[in-house]
Amino acid sequence: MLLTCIKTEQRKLRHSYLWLVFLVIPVLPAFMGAGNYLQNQGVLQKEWYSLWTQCSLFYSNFFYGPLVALYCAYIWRVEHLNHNWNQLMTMPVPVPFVFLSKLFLALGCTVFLQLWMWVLFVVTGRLVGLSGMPPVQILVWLLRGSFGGMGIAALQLVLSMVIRSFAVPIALALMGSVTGLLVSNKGLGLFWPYSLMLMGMNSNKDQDIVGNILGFGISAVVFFVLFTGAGIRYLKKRDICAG
Amino acid sequence: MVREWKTEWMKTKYRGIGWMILAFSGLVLLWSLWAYGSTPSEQLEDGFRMSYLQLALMDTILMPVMIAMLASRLCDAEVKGGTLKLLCTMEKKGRLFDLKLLTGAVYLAVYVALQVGIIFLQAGRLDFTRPLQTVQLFCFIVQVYVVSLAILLLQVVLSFFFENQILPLAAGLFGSFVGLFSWFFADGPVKKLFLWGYYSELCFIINDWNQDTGAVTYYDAPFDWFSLCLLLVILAAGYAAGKKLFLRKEI
Repeated sequence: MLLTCIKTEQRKLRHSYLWLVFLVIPVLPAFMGAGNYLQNQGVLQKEWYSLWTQCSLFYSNFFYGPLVALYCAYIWRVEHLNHNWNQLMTMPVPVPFVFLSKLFLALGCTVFLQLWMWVLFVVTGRLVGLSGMPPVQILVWLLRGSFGGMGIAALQLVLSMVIRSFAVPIALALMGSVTGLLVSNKGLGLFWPYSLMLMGMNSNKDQDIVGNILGFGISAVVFFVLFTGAGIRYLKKRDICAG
Repeated sequence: MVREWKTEWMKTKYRGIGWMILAFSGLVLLWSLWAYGSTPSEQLEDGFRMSYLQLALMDTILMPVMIAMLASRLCDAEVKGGTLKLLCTMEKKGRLFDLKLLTGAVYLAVYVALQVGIIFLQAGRLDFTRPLQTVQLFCFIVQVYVVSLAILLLQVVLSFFFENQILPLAAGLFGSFVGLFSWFFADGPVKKLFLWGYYSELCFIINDWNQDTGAVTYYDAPFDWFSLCLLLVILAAGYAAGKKLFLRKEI
């Protein structure tokens, strides 16, 4: 049943040009990061690690949140339009599956974005003249970033479900990402969902900043479960507003 | 004209645009509090210069998305509500476009005014020693306002043309990225190609970071009048083209 719901959700996204946005926008930080690396080679001397600091800097600090927010807002946009809420809620599927199927797509989008960043990272690394492949540790950071991003994806999905506007959740994601940077600089990143992505990605650092990996894992899982639970509960309890 | 102007403001009711402007200003305030908090006191003596540079950088990241959202919310009544046909039978089509822009311009003016307020608030709180130079404050206002106005024009056109708001908002995100990276571009014609890059192009403060001491020193740079004139030309041409496109749009 859940699989059918996921397929249905995928079908709703056809011809949306979302793929184009997700393909093009990450190219910018990757290539600009590479350019920055080339310009500052006097300071950046740790090869792949230094390139990583430049490529991950802006992507995870400011742009992952709004990008996944765009995706989540689009997923719910279909329901907010043309009285589709009525149809959605009368479908013969359990309510949690409605939310979980959309969440599955948002998580898939996160993983795709991260892997695309990896491909771009390798390509730009080769272009700037780095030899071999990047250290496995960076791939681990990237996947850890995906893990940290789960909570953000779940939160954005809830926001896009509750807020009928397409634009507001995206702006909230940008604001969340900026505050995420400030909060993580204060050392409180584990308590703010938007900080988890940049911490997981080890953004702009060549030494691992996640000292407490267990704490990071617990924080990511707690936020994910909390927002997913809140989303399902909202969908079950609140009356819909179709219009 | 006055009636249509009033109607525009009635359309913005319950859109939460004012809250959005306040929220973004609050975020800038929070960010600047953090930035000033981690700055050595001797550098804060030159606080005004530091503010002009840092706020312009923050605006480069935040404004493109905020303006995309502003334009999207302003055009909601027409695009999402599907009222364009109805409205265009009651008022001149071109005037609707003009008033939409004007409404957005007023919101942007409020935002810039709040930013100036933030500068004075920080100046009072942290006691900036070097006196305020009115010309520089004027340049800062011009820098932020004119660039934002040009972006608003682009976003209004996009929001009117695409019922699916994903494209205008993706353009906003793209703009934030390009604008941010334009700060790292070398001076040259490439920077002038991107509308969002003018935040950095028109910046009149440069800084020098001492790698050994970690101290940042701020200097004046000549205001790029050529780029400002170019931007005004782009704004005028963009307005003419955008309005023409809107007038020819099938509703």
